[in-house]
Amino acid sequence: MRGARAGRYVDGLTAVVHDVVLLIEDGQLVGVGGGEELFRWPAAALACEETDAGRVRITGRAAGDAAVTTDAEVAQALGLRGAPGAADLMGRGRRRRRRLAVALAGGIVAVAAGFYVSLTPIARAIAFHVPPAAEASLGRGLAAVIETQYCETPEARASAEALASRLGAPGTEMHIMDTDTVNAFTFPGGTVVLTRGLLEKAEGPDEIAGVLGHELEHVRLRHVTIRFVRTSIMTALWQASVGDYSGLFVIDPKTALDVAGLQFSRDDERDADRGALDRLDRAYISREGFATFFERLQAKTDVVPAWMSSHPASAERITRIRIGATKVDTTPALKAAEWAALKDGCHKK
Amino acid sequence: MEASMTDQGYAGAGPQAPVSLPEIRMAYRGEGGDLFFIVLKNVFLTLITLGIYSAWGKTARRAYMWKQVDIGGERLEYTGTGKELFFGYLKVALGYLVLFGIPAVVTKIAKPVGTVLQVLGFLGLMIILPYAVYWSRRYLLSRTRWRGIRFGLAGDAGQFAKLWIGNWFLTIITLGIYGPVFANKIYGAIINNTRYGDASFSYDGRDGDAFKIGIKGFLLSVVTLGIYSFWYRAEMQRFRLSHIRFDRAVGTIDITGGLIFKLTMVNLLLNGLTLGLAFPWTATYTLKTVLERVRFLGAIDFARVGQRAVVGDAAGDGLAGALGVELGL
Repeated sequence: MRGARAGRYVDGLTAVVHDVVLLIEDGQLVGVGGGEELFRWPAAALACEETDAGRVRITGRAAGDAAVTTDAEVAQALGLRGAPGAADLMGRGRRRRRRLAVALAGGIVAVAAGFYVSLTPIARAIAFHVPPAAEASLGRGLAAVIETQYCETPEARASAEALASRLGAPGTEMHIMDTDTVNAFTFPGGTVVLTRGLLEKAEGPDEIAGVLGHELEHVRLRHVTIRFVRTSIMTALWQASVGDYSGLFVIDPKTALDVAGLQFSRDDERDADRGALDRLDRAYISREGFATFFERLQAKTDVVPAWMSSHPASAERITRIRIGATKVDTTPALKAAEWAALKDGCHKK
Repeated sequence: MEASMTDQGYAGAGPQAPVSLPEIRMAYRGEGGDLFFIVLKNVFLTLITLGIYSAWGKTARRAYMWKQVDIGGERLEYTGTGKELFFGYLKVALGYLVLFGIPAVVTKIAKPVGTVLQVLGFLGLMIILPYAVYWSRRYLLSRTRWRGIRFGLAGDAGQFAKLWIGNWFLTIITLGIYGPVFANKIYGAIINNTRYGDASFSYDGRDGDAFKIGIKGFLLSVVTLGIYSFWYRAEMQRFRLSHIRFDRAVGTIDITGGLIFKLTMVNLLLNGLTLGLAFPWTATYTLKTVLERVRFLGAIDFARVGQRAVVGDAAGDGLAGALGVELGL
């Protein structure tokens, strides 16, 4: 920069704006107004920002509350941090910025995708380190929200627990929930809930045995806890990234219902199916009930329950259930009296 | 002179303003593309720092938006730092932990005690709300500079909270009828405590007038299924601005219900169609449209406005963010 430039100066003492003449002397910005020197600031203690195309506001430690507004060339000549480069003034900066914007957008998508993909393995690792007692306590806390809708008779509960026991999970806490929805779900820690709708749709104990075996596998494989950890991490990340920490310390009813309606991944469902078949075989219960129950529900698409949903594709699932059914000497999953007690096991209706 | 200025201000319409009266106009000079770039950068850095950058991001966004606000030819300046905002957030997170975390843990051990603590925590939150409003406003004002002079909020938060809670209580027991008076008192308290350097703003909008506008607005909004609410908001804005004074100047905003309606619809439509991606542009458009309609009519003696010591803690800002009572800045 050669010679003097005009600028507008505020001294930080009053709100008056002064017209000044700006000079650069030995790396210092000097302002002259009304025939006297008003300030002399070393460039090292100054910074600037662009306020308008080609205009900058110079502030900084040396200036305190004072500031100067002037042409961008002054800031360039002083070599100030934040000075727009010559390229910016000629419009090349805009093009560079557009490229950077595209890169940033790509980066955001990549980072988000990376988080998303690595989330399940991380959640799995964490879930298997959750002590059983903590898991059970978490489950109780969540279940408390729907506890009022439990409706099982003592006999039905005994039948359900006997079935769980036969399927290799003695001591499982079983409940029936008073709703028309056809569903079954588990809470962290292992409580299994069957809905009244599910029991009404079932035509025999073998059908329920398949569904229960499937849920018990979700418990054994800790699918619910993994999902819960995963959702919590995602919520925490989201809230942290938008700067909202309010939700981090509360478990609200919504979380509990989210757990009830959790969608497992295709792999989770496949694993649970495979384990359920093992349980049926080991208990000498026919696989046929599990398969027909699927078929019947699939025929009436309006009641396809969440645990059946679309993954893995149901036809594929049914086929896999029937393949390799080797047991011949099977017996019904429950005695007739036990089944009658379970089927009509919801006392509220 | 003073009275006629008030009348002019309240009428709000520009054309009949006497030519002799000096006026300060406002404008927003920013561009949607610039804001979009800043937001994009913030989201990216916030993601890869697991949220830590958000305080710096917010500061960068404000610094940009502040300097685009042109008041009488001079830009605003934001002097807040990301670091102070970050520590403000930490304090608020700690407060939340005390208010909700401890009761949650105690509930696990001794249920009745925990429940009592949870209720107390909730009541505490209600009491903290006005403090959050006050502290966040004080933080923002104290980090805002214009013509080299900082703004500020005088008074104390306790006094403000007392006013808030008392009037809030009246609003509840009158089933909301008292609401417009409550809002007017709060607005007035904020404006009357707002400082520019060592000079004060003042607000003289009377509760009775605000009440009339509020009740009329409510009734007509009900009758018109909400459509009148845009005109109600416009009238309230004109009323409020026209009662703000600084030195010998008085505020005015030339805004109509039709304009607010149009802005609301355009924003809804564009943000809806683009899943919110258009928001840097819609926010910019809204700011430009509204600010160019704000003026201060009358003389201000800038030589008599001096600097004043700075007060204000960034925790207030974080708190307001956590409670959702932010100004949307």
